[in-house]
Amino acid sequence: MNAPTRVAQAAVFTLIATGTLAACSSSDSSSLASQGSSSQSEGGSNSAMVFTPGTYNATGQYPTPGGLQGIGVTVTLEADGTITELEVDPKAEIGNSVQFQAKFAGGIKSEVVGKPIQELNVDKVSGSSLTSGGFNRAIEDIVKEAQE
Amino acid sequence: MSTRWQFEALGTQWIIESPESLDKEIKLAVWQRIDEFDKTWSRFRPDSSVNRLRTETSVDLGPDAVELLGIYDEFYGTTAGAVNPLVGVSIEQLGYDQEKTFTPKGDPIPAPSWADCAMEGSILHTPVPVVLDVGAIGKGFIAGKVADLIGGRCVVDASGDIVNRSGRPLKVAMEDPRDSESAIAVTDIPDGWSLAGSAINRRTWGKDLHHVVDARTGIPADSIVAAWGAAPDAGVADGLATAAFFTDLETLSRFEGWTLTLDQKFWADSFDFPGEIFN
Repeated sequence: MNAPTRVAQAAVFTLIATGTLAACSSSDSSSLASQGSSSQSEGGSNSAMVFTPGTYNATGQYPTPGGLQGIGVTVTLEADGTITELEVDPKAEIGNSVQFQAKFAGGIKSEVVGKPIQELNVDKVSGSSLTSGGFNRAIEDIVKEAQE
Repeated sequence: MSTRWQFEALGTQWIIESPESLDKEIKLAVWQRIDEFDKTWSRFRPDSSVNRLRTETSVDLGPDAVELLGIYDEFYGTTAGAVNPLVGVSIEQLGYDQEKTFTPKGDPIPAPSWADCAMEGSILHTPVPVVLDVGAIGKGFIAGKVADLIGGRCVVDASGDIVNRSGRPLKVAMEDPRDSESAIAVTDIPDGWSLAGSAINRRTWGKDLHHVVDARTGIPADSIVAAWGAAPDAGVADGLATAAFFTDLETLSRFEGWTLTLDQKFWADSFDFPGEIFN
């Protein structure tokens, strides 16, 4: 597919190879940790392996000077081990890692959490306040009509 | 930016900030520039040039035609037809029509092929009568032209299409579509650049009915809920914020600029985004 996906796959295998994975399955009893611990996951052919298809969540942890950091990964696997979907959810809350992980997750995917705009000290806000006055009024008219 | 001029045009709130208040002559020129644009391109004005294309197949679309439709050409190619100025027929089929009935007329219909149209100077030739809608790029485009007209330092904000000519980076928050008091990301827009945003929870008139429509199918976008684009050109920034609903963000990287999207689960995706995403 595209480059971000390839980067994402590399990231997951790095985590499997180096991280302490606390795996849990969201769809069945299989465990990513046991599947991922196979040495064959490091770029070799995995044609002999059988995977239970499903969506798996895992959290990897790693030490940093600022303390232990975590990163969450969700993958959707097919029976032949093909990753059909991957999302990375940075969970770090301490020190520099927040910023570094935000950059890492950019280009992959990460869930957003709103921050109060008042705290951000920005010049401008861009986004959903895009509704035009004319459009609003037209919709209001329709709603009124519907209520009559 | 110390002074602020606020007005309504193109059915949208405009805020123009500048170090000193703008002359009356400049304000009049800005107003006329926007009105001329509206007279040419609005599909809601019965006397507009684009509305003649509903019955005629060759119409002069004026001084902005070559540049504006040229940007459409680029996006039409890059998005494999998802962004197409002939999408008006699809949008009207969904109910966002001249009479603003907001009642779907039937099943979605795709737009005619833009590749079958031809430009001869500022005259557009179409094989069949069409409904032209420049909503994907037009507002950003004219916001950039207004900044050009002012000439000096300014920030033009046409309800989300923001043109930064302030002489310094502009710090901008991306509003959370779930909560207008919150932001999901923050970035600096360099001097000379523009930012545009689009969200499908705005300009909505029914379940799954909104203004961001895939011209290939005539169906509103459903996987992305909000998108932003930034570029040195204000029209391109607006185009990116629409194209990102339909196109792999890496494909859009052929344009100088960046894109940021939120999907239905409020997961962010981005390409070359230079700011901070809150997650």
